[in-house]
Amino acid sequence: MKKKCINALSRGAKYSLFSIVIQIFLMSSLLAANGMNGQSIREYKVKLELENASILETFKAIELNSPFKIFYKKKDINLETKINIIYGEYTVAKVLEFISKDAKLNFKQINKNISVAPTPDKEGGNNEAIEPGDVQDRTITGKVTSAEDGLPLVSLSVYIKGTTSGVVTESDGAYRITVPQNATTLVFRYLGFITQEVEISGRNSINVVMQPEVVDFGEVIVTALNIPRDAKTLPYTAQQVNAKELNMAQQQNVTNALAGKVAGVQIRTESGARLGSNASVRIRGNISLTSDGGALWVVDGTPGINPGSINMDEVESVNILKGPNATALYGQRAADGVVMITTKRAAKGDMSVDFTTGITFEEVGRQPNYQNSYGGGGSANWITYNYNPNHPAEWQVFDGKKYHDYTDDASWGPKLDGSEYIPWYAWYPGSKYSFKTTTFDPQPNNIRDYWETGTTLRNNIALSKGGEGYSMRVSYTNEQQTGLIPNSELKKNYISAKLDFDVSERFSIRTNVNYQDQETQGDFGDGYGNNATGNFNSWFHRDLDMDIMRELSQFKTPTGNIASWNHSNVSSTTNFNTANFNRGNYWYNPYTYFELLDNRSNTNRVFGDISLTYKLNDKFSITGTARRYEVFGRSELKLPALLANSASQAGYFNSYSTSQSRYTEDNFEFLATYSETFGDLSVDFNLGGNLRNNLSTSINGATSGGMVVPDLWSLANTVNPRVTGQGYSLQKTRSAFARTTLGYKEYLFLEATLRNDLSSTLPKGNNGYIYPSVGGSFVFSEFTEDLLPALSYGKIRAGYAESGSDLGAYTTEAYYGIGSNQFSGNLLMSVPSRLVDPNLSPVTNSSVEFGTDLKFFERRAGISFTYYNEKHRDDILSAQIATGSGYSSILQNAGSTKRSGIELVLSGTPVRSGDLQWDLTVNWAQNKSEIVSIADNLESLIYSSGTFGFARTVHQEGKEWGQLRGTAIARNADGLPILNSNGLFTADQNHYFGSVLPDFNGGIISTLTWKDLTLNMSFDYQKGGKFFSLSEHWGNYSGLLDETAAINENGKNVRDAVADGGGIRMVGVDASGNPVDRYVSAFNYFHQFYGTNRLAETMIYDATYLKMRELSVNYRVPVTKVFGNSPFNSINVSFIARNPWLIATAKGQDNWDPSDQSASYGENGQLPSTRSYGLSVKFGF
Amino acid sequence: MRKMKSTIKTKSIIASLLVSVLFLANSCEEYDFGDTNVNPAQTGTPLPNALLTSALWSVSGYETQTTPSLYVQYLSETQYPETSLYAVGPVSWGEYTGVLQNLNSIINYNTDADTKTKALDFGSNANQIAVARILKAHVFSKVTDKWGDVPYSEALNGNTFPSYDTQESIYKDILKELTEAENGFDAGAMPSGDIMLDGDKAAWKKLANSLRMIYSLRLSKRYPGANDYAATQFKAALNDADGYVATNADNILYAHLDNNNFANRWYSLFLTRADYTISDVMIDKLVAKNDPRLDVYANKNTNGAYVGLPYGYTRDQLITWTANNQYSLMGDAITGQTSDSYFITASYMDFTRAEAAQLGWTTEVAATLYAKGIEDSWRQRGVYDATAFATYLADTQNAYAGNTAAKLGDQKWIAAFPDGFEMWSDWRRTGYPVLTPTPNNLNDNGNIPLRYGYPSNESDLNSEKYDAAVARLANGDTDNSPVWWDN
Repeated sequence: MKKKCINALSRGAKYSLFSIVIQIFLMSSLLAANGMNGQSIREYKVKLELENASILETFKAIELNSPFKIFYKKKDINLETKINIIYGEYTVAKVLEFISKDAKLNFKQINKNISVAPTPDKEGGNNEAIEPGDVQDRTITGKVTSAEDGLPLVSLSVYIKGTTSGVVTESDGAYRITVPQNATTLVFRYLGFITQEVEISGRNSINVVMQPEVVDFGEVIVTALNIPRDAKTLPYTAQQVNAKELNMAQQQNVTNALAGKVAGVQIRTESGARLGSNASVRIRGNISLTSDGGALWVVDGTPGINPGSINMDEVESVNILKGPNATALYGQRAADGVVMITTKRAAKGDMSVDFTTGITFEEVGRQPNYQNSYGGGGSANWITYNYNPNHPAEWQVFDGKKYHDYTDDASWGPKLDGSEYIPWYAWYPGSKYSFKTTTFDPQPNNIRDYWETGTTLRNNIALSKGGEGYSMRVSYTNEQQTGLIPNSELKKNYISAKLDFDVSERFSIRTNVNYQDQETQGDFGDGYGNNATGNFNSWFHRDLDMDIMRELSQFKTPTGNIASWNHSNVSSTTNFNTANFNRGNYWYNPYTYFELLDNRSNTNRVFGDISLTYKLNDKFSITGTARRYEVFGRSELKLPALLANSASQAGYFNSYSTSQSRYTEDNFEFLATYSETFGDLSVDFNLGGNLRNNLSTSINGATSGGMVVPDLWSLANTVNPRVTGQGYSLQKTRSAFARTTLGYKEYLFLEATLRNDLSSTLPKGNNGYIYPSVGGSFVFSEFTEDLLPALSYGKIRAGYAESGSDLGAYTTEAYYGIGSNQFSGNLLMSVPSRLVDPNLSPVTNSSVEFGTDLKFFERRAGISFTYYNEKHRDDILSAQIATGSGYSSILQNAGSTKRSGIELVLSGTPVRSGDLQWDLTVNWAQNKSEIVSIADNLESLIYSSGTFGFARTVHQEGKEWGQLRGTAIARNADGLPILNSNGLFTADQNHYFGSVLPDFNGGIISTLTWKDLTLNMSFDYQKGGKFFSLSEHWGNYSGLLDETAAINENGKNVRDAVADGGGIRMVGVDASGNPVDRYVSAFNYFHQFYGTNRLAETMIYDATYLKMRELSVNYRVPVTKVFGNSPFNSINVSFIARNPWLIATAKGQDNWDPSDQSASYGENGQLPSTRSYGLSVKFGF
Repeated sequence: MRKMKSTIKTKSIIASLLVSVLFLANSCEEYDFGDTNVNPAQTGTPLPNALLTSALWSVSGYETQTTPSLYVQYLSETQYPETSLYAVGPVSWGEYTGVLQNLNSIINYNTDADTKTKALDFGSNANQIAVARILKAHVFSKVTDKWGDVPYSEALNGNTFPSYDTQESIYKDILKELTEAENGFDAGAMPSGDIMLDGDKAAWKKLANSLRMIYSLRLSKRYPGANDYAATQFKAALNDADGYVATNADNILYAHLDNNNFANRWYSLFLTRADYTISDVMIDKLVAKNDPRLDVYANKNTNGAYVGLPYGYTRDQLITWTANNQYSLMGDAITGQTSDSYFITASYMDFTRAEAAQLGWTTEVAATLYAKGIEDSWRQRGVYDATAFATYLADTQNAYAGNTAAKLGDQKWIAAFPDGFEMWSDWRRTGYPVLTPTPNNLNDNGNIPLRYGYPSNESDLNSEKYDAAVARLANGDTDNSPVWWDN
């Protein structure tokens, strides 16, 4: 890359926070400064002098000299009113008071925003005015609170309708107004809230809850590098999700909470039975050939955080930066987008204690449709037991009775006809079921019965306080969850402490410490062959009674093993003591496995930062920040001898394995900020540098081939040499960046960024690269006020950006690794199977994005539209090559992809009438990611291969990203299947079934408020996107699913003999093209998909769905009314439901929930989708 | 704003920014991170001894390849009968990126001027190369026996579109390689990492000569004449002064250990699974012949009887059969963790020489070699008893008379148990032993497969060369196209 660069904070490898701090002081010595800084308008002081200044100029002066932004409706204010203030140092509040006197305006501070509105009556009064009426007949008192957070509203205007008589509320929200006898109505008015008129109706006490108005002032968006920006200045789309929208249903992780809430973002959740798992996030589909999702998560500016470490209770807002235009300042790491999380901090003057407690219950959601007509076994024939004198005497009662095949784990067994038979457990002595027959009956709910009801208890306490020169927030959350899988649990603790501390007038420190520990117990593997769904949906007997299974989960047979439904047939033994007769053939009793397995993992995560800001003056400040994210993991797996011995072919040994890992990411960051205004022109400038080190180490060990002494959990206690492993990876990056925003008046903004990254993972001599971005926005509504009065805000934006990405450590050279085992002191080594192109260079992305944000009817309705077109070149990919070369792949710059799409957000308040308000946001996004080329002479690239090789995710030149490829049914020109001589399908190898990415997707957020009740709902949907279901394959292969026992066109069960009219009808042509119309047996039909052809076609579906993700009913207890004077400020009670309703899926696909997918190609034997219901109460003190 | 008072002048801010830029300014295209990107736990240069150990362990895997053992009906599948019903399709060739590349790397490392001196730490260049060439030739014969024409002359060098060489040219080169390698040893140190023969040069030479004999006999259908290419090659090896595996003392055993990581592969195969057992075809044959090797090859079932699991049953048939019968497992002497398993045995060489004599290639006496083959096998299996042997040999089932080719084929098949791979090649070439295909076939033609399908991604990744190779196959890329030496 031959470009000149602006600068780089990169000379010398020893840069550290320390040296950055020194620089800050170096520079500060050049400058003088002033300013006494608080965070409240009553504390923050500014020095100024105004002489005949306009209101607009005054506001700008305040904005420039303080952290506050001022918002107002233009039509409410006469901007030409002149203001005069003599030189001096004033609190912002004081300045506003001056203005208020001159311009008759009312101000309210909301965090760092100051909203402006005219005083109730444009003629009279100031914001403290009380103008007594003529007749003082009665006094009305009451308290006014916000519906948003239940907190009192201070300085709110209360006046008598039709008069100018009014008061304002006190600091506790209380008011006291004297009204004449003839007064009928009080008006409550407060900026940012809907004005309420309340009839007095003879009452002496009137409490009012004010409903907030929909976004009545400009939004502040947290952008790259944690820089808060006024939305109107952004040249790219930004859709921020706030805590309220995020926390509708007490989600346990932030990934699930995002489902359907941001346009262009696809959340792929996993089964709720997998405790501690997070959803994966796809932003704008995909563009890289080598990754699927993998957004960079940034929490309060600290990058690289695992979303699982984020405490939902602490999240203030989430902003998703979707493409290079928004992520340019994050450089190479942000190729898949950035999820920016801002957590809650205390405000000045704030003192609050919040306690939230909740409980939720979880159950299985959609289950596949099982057949309930045929029982277990590989053969439909009953086996008759003939007693012989060598057999245990107890078995004599079974002489002449029948049993079905226990050995085979499929359900191609006899008809479930209620007849007498010998169940699997009856052969063993010692249980109440010993030596008793029972009836062969369907168990339609046996799988659903298996799962436990999961419970989650979650408690959070958060304390905030802010005062002169400091603010702090401490929060603690404890979460305890038991899962659907027996004996599975999750425990989590989160602690966070945040402190903002002004050391001196100019020097402030901000710290942020977050700690999380997590412990899980259980086996959450959800691929093929797992002991839960991997069993039930792949291999099982449909006749099994789960209650008895649960009862016998620790029942020992005479050999001391635990029996399983899947033991050998009785022909293999003559006594009680044959091992294979006393244990599972392939499968355990599913309770036994989970009850005996001890699989624990602990994860401790710490992240946070300390940043020092030196404010040289009102315009220039420098910040040095040190950030760390650290994860320490430990896991232990103990597989007891009893479990190992209780199955013959499950492949388990008595074993112990343990691992420890540590990962750290350190960032040392320097940021200089400069803001200046020259008349109508404003300049915002950032210059920064960053040093980043990522270090990952791990060590693991395991016993091998069993344990010498059973169940002694030591690595030394191993039959074969113990297996050990180690991991080490270090990566360093040095970066420098600059950003500038130029603003002209309040409507035209131009932004440019430049970033230079130097990465240790790229080839020496060519490891640096630069990417720029440029964009602009124009708030055209400034000029259309008269022309389009309905348009309250209108902005267009456009930008161009480039970004790049590098690769993992140690990939630019081929390395020979040493095999983990020695052969009697001899090392084993293999030639690496990957060739590496020595001239690797960084990947480059370039993107054009434009769009518009419009708000109508005083911002009651809004539309945001975005179009993007992104090109991705020189992807670094490991392309498969013919293995005859001696290598299986080559790592090279190859491949070019592009994507373009549209994102649309409609938001508004369709209903606002009295106490009733309905807010609605609808997201819709369409993305098309296309593979332009892959590599020379390579038309396709396998992205991921599925178990058994049925379906693969493959990139195919000229097609959409991620084609599902597999074997299709060979068809003739008319589309008729070509059948072989047995009447079965023939194969069309390597067929492309379509992309795994959806055609479009989106979500709906609905909030309905009536008085103190709020009904929240969120939905997400997607259309299209292919997925393959492995469970469906095996469920059919094993005769478990309803299709395998359906009724055919002859009115017979497909399992009936073909000669008797049973079987499955096959219509097609033979190899010569002659028509074929015949029946084949169900067994042969469903077994044809396996074998060498691995026919995938019939197991591939559209992942279309519409799902209600969240539902909550929230009741704000009118605290004062109910409790009178109590310590409570607020009490909120919520009934919540997560994933309550899978409303619709693609036609013909009613077995699986496509919103939960464990693999890029779809369903891989995964755990069931779940839904949960619960109750949560939040107390504010 | 008219008189906003800033205490700082714009000028000084710009000045300080400039200072900081100058202070930090640097190149942006390149930065020296030192050794940051050097993997501390792996090496950029190979250890030829470790490559050899790895290659030798891989080579021992051919003996337990179950697919050919099912094709020659040594084994039956106990629960999932797909392979024994000839469900065939594409099969991946793992050898190129594994064992072949390791061996190739040893040769290159000992050849390249830059590295050959460094390679001397692990044995003389010539001896490392000779050992690697022998093994490489052997593995290539396995590869071409499975698929037919395969990448050879353009293989293993990073050429991403290697041509498929004809099997004829491959075999000729294999024989050339074996001959050159056999003569290529020098007096220097033998390679380290030799877990199979521990640097026994004489044994390596015998291995090379034995392989030359086996592989030239493999070409007997193409070159049947006593003075043709194959016979000439055969005789050259037979008469080589360094000898071949002639007695059981010369047997070349695979290396394995008494731990599961490197145990006898038959042991590992049955460690946690019971997918295969000895077939009824083999047990019935041994029972009929009253062959003492039965006690070695099979265990009695729990009823104390030798019962072979029927070959070629469907799953349904298997379930019904096993509900009423118990089958014999493979013998403990074969499947023990440290039981011997064989690369080349004297018995196998006896039968190989006997066939060459039958073909008139040599003047050796076929009948003698036939008897010696059986005797060596009995001795190898520890069941030799002079009286029993005389009785056995006198039995018309076994006596060297009548259809001697069939007799030889049967006895070679019995002796070579359980190494199905070699026998699959022999069966394809000679038609012996006579095997009855399963009637429950899943393939189109109902015949025992004659080759494997090419790896499924070859048509994608190397389509032009793949298409050219497929065009040379009689019935396309199917199991029903005989390889070149099978024509």
